[in-house]
Amino acid sequence: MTSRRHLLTGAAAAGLGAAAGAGVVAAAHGDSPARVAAAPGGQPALGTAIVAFHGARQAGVAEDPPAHAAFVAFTLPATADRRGLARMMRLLTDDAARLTRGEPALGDTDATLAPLPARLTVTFGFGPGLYRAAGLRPPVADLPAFRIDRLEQRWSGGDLLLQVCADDPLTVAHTQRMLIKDTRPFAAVRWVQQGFRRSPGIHAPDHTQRNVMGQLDGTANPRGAEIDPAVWNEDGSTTIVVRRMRAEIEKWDMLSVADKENAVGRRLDTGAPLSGTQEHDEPDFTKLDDSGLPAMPDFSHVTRARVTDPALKLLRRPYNYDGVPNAAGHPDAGLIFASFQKDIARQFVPVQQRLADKDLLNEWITPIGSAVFAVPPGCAEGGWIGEQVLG
Amino acid sequence: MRPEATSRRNRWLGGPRWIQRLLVAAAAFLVVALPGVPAWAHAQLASAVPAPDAALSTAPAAVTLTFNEQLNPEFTTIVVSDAGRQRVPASAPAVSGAAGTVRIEGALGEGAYTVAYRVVSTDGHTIQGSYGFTVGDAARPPVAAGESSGGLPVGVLIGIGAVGLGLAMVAGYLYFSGRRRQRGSA
Ligand code: HEM
Repeated sequence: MTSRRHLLTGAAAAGLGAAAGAGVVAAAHGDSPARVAAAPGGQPALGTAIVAFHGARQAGVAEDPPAHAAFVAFTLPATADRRGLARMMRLLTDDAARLTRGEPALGDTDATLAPLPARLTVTFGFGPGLYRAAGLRPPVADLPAFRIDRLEQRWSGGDLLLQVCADDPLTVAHTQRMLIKDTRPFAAVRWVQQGFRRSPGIHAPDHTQRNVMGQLDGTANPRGAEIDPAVWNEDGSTTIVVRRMRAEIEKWDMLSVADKENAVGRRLDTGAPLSGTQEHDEPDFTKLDDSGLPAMPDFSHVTRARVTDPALKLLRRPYNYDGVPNAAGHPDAGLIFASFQKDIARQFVPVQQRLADKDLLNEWITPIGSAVFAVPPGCAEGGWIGEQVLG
Repeated sequence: MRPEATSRRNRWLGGPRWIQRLLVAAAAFLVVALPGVPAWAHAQLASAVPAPDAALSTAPAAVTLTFNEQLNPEFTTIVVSDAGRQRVPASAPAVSGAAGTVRIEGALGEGAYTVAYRVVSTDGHTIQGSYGFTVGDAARPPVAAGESSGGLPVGVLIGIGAVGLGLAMVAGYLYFSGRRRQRGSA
């Protein structure tokens, strides 16, 4: 994780007049969950925790993902131009800088909701259409069509993305509302996807979370120093792919544990590869069982998705969604699959192509939404996100 | 100690009602839990060429496994290994309906071989298993036949099923005979 983007504690750092000297945030660097409890003065450390907004790289990428997220995509009008976009980004950057340090946005109509940022981050992504509107060549292109896709317009595409993450859903809701309000003169809301992960304090910070399908999800993610070569370009930019993956939970739940494990290639309880015993054992694709079958099924998700080159890995940062069940009681659940990588064409597309060609997990997951965005570099205090692109 | 409390406890623990309840609970559990246990209705190996334990005088050119359900062609693995657990070069499996075939490249020498399969039925369940055959006068097939689905060997599942059925029958008998007795004494 970047040293630049260390976590500050809200009360002390932002001078909000809230109780000073809030405790260390447990999620920061492996503190025991017991220390989350409360900071001196009655301000819970979780609520006042701040992730620095300013820096050479945007926040909301390399940090441990907070528990709640809203992905908000916008469509630009045909009249959008570079100057208008720059105006919009100045305004939104100012909002995001304030809100992430626990201050109300300018003209905030619900200022009382601002003081508990709870590790709030706002990450901006620019879709291909934003570059075209500005008269620039887009650095990202829509994904090719994959045969497994069942994409719905209502979850796909977008010219501008705001990824809003925090450890508290009310903070996310307030931030989303304020940012949408200020974007309204410039762009129309295209889609919003809200998701969640395990809450802080539920288990040790370095524990891999489980997703709605019950799997440990994130085991093979690059961590620490491994993130840099996979994710960040020289200039501090990166890219994000957002795919809404519906999980066919009703069908998934008909499977035995062994069926589920064969689909992924890892044990359901420990997350260990089927060729090993511990979660972080390297999968051994050459290992055979007594009858001569590969211990890692050749059609399992991990076998197919495997990336070994450190420069080609994806930083997956998925959130679960769990909507309203239908009248028959069938869940509307799945993943808002988000991944960060330097280069979508070089890193993401080959993995998705292999998975589309063959992956037993496809029997229970369906891409129903898809969008790509460039994530421009961060900015210094006084600067604005997108200044290198639109300035 | 108060006498009526003791006697109630004795009746509860020692009397047939306790056993009845346990058995009814066990039967109810099995009735509820068993549909969740896979492998009753899922694909199984129906026939194989060469057959399990076959002692062949001439080397087979292909192995064809036929299941009792359609296979998902994308997810069919069939591996033939020799006695040294080395994989015999073979084609990718060709799947047609419920059958998968691998063509063996080159002639198999005399010896014992193992056929192992991992296939997925169209409803997504994985079935895997293996069996042996020999070519020439090699002594015995190397690996005992086995098939599993959902992780539990079929034998174990059948065992669970048999015990469950037995318990359910005993429980049913006790339950109904208990009711009859109650009605009789009323
Ligand atoms: C609902 C959709 C999905 C589910 C439930 C899912 C689940 C999982 C699980 C359980 C693992 C193993 C543990 C881990 O390393 O995190 C995994 C690994 C992985 N998945 Fe997915 N996944 C989904 C979609 C995708 C998509 C869309 C992609 C990219 C196109 C992808 C790429 C990967 C990669 C690269 C790995 C790591 C492979 C390795 O090197 O070991 N997954 N996924």
